[in-house]
Amino acid sequence: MAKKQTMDHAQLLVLSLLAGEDMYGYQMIVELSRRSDHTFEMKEGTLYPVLHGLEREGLVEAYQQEAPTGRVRKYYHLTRRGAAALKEEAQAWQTYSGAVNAVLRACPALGLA
Amino acid sequence: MDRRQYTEQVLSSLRRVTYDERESIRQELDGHMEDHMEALRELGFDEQLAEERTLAAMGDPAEVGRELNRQYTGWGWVISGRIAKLAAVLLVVPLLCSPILHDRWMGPADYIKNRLDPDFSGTTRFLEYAARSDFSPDAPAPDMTPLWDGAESVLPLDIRLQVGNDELRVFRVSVGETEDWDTGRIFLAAEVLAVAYDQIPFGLVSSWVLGEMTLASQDGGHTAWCGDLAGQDGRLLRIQGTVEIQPGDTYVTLSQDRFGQKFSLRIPLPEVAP
Repeated sequence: MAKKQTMDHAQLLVLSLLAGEDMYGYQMIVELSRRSDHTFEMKEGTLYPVLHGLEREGLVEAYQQEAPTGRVRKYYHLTRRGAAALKEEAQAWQTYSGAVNAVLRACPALGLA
Repeated sequence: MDRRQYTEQVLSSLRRVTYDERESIRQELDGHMEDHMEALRELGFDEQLAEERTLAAMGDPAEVGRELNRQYTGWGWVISGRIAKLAAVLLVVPLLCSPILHDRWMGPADYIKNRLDPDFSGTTRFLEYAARSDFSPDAPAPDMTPLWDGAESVLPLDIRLQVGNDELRVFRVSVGETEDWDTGRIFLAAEVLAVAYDQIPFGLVSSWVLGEMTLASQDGGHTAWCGDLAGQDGRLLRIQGTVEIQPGDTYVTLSQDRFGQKFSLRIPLPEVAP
């Protein structure tokens, strides 16, 4: 049986954003909104509890970097542990969403089949 | 509510963060809102409207604060951060004095005792070994009976010399007759006893500098090796040297010129009844 989903969706989405490049908070919000075609528009403040939780767990690490404008931003970087967790959780999510889809498709009233 | 008030309200929910963590969160939230407002300004929003929209997008500060507070679980983090240095010291010092680290090293109690009141018993065997081997090519090996058990005249001393990070403490000088092991000749000699250690307790002492020195008679006519007898502990050297002297000599000279450490220490001799 596949591993059970242990991570909430916000954590999974944040890890997947960081898999491509290091990002700062506001950049993640913009990118998440763009990639999900505005489906995921989380309250921006709630991103930080997610990020700090992942940092505490060692799945991401943060560093300061100065932008060309002179502003210092806190960037987040996916750690090796974070990448492994992302892979595992993404697979669990695929299994889960596949199972949900299969059940929905089998429902005659929805006409998805 | 403005940006500053928003951040303050988030921070007011945090119960278990250090000052640095709090300031880092403040900077991050302020920066985020500044980024958002900047994007809105570029779209033509005026300052006030940009701030209103930004604050609305951030969400309820009480909720953000509550969620953030949950991530900083317990005082353990705060406490561990503050006592980390203390813990390091508490762990490292016993390790340095631990015999586990080096099976020939003395325990902490012996170390302290020897620093205050050096004990040379048990070191004779090493002295004999040193005498019989080509121990130091720079200076003649000790080749005579140690005096500390049967000296005719003993002068307790407390001469301290700082050498780099180490301290050399000459604590006793004796004058008496001794025997050359090779020839059996009996002659008058002065024996110097000293200890050397790092100024920081349990630190390492430079045995290359203080473990092998030269002891010379007053007129410089006789020189002898003067160094670490025990040869066992990297933190405390028990130093002995015996050099032939002339009747009437009032001092001997302990010297070193090695690895940039150069000194010459004149050690007074006790008077010997003719």
